[in-house]
Amino acid sequence: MTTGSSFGSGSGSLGCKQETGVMDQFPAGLRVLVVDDDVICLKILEQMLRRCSYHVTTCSQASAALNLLRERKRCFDVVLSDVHMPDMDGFKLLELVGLEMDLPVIMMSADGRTNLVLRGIRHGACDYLIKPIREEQLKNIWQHVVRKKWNENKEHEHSGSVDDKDRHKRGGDDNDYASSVNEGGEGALPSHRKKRNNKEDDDGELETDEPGGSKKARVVWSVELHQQFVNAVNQLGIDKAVPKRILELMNVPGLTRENVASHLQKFRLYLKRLSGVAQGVGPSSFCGSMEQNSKLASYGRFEIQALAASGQIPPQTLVALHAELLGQPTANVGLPVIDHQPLMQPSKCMQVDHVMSYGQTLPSNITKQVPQSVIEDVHSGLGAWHSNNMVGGYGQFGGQNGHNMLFGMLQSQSQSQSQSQQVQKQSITVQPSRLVVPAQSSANFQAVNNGVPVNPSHQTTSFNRSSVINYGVGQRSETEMKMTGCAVDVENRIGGQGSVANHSIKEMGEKQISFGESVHVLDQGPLRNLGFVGKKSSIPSRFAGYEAESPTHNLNYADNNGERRIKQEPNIDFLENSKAGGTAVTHRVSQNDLMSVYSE
Amino acid sequence: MAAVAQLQRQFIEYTTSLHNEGYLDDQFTQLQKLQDESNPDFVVEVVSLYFEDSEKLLNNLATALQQKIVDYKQVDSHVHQFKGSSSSIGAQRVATVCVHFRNFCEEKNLEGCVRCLQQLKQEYILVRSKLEALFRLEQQIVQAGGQIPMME
Repeated sequence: MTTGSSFGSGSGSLGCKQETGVMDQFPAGLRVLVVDDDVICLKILEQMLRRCSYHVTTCSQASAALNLLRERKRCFDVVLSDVHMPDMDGFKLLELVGLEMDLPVIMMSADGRTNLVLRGIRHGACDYLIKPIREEQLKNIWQHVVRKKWNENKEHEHSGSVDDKDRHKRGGDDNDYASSVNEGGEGALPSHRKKRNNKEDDDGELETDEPGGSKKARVVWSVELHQQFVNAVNQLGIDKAVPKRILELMNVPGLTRENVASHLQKFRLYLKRLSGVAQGVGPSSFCGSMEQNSKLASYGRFEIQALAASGQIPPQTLVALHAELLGQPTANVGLPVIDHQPLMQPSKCMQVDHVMSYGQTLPSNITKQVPQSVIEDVHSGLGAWHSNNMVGGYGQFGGQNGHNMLFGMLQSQSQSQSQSQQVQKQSITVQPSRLVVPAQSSANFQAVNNGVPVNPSHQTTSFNRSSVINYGVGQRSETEMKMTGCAVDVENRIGGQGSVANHSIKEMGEKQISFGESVHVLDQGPLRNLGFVGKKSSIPSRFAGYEAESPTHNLNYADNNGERRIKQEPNIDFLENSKAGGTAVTHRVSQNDLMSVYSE
Repeated sequence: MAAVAQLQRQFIEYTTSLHNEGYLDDQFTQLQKLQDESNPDFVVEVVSLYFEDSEKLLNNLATALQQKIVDYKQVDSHVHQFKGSSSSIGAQRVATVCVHFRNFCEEKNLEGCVRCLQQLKQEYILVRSKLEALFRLEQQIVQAGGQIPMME
């Protein structure tokens, strides 16, 4: 079994390797990250997990763990975290991980009081273990990984996304993903997620043709479409928004009530999640007026700006902002994310600015460039990180648009690797499959987090939460820092943990909001996805460039035999990856994305 | 060899009594089971870490309780930590004192806290000496060429 690696204060750059051979026997080889400030517990857990044939990495500081996760998103399958930690509240870590990386997180604590366990659940924990933990309890943690993947897949399916197969094919370039992931920057991009969720091949078009002959017409929730949706919902009022009426308002030919219904469901989940974090009440703490449901719609630009001005942008605001941004295709999309550090302000709120900038820039890019592949990549669902890679400019746009935009941007920006590198920095954590609903602030986040695999374009939703984080896109360092702070902040707000936010911000040491995963990874990631898309043929040649690069990812779809199937099933991917045994990366990726990473 | 057999018997008796008296619980047995060829000194390593950590925590607790204005949250945090590590290695009696200690913290009962700290120190010293004795026995067995019996 592989040896675990320990990360103290963020030191250590362990590539996430999977031991070949262990991957053959899933769940052996499951890559676990354990975070606990108690070194004794850490040591014991490490040994127990090793005995379960898992690949263990330990971290005694939450901030270090977060950085590690951001750098190597694809390198882990599940996170085990203690609740009580000095540098960061375990619940906060839990939320961040869920938002940014969409990994299953299991909480642990010597304190098993019901209210704490409940908190854990509310924050999205997959499970809550009471210490002292026994080996038997750890043996089954793989179920959370599989379940999550499956659920995301299912959602993805329901939301009418493009056939994953197509996506997978495109992802063929990711073969190197696994292997390069550890290299400084060549890492494979976790575009898997994106791939999987890449529903949309076209930007904003409804696709009804399914190569695989699926029964449903897949709807690609592009940014534009999503914006239309959001507008409709806002108009009706989130409480009164019913699919039928939304459909009517949207007036998009080919869109069915079912499409809208499932999208709405995701959106609601997202909203709920966002507000739920704040103890079940719409975070009125933000600007006082954000009510989760109703407010979303009414959140106007002005409000957002006001919020921004106040420096505290609650997630909802961001969502709203996002929505606003979506609606305004004015921005200078062209802004390369990488160097974009615009809004990084020391305060936490900077995000708002970012959002703005993102929003603006995106539109143009998105519309034009977001090739399906891009979207797909972005959506890979599990992580927005793809987007980072992909879109150089994306970075700016954290939100859903970001994803798509990212792709578009990415493509346009850099056909070359170097570009992608930059993109990586941006690491927008767009979660491919997430519903990115810019408009609805928190809700969006929720959606995203819920893995609503709406469309890649919707990534925005995830954006909200993660987007906040992503704002940092641009330069990893600073921006990320800020972002993190902000994100944290936002999150806190939502969750009503204002203090935590600040707290976390500080703690976050280097903020790399690695949305995009570390440079190395990014590169491959987004590009890869792009490449994938192209494979399918829907993606123009610009992606082609990427294809070349994503070697490690063994793109599931591509030629790997039977890759197609990977796409949809998370577990399969998981297994597949395992089989591939090759790179850890792939293994990881597949979990989420199915599509993308296919271990060869 | 008779010597080995005798040592092994001693070991078993001692371990059993420690369990019966509540110094160690099943979690310690779990630790022993985790030890294997790839990690032959696992238990000793973990317990050594525990000793180091505990001593630090005890000092921190003493300091915290001596402050003019006692920060009970901080005290509670230390105790929580101590409870976690103690229960992880199976130091049951120590963990139990921690539970009481936490209650006093919640009540902000300084006297109760101070008493608990004393108790904590005592229990810690006791379990430490017993574990050290156990390790010595193990060493003797190994040196005599025998195998350490597995406790169920």
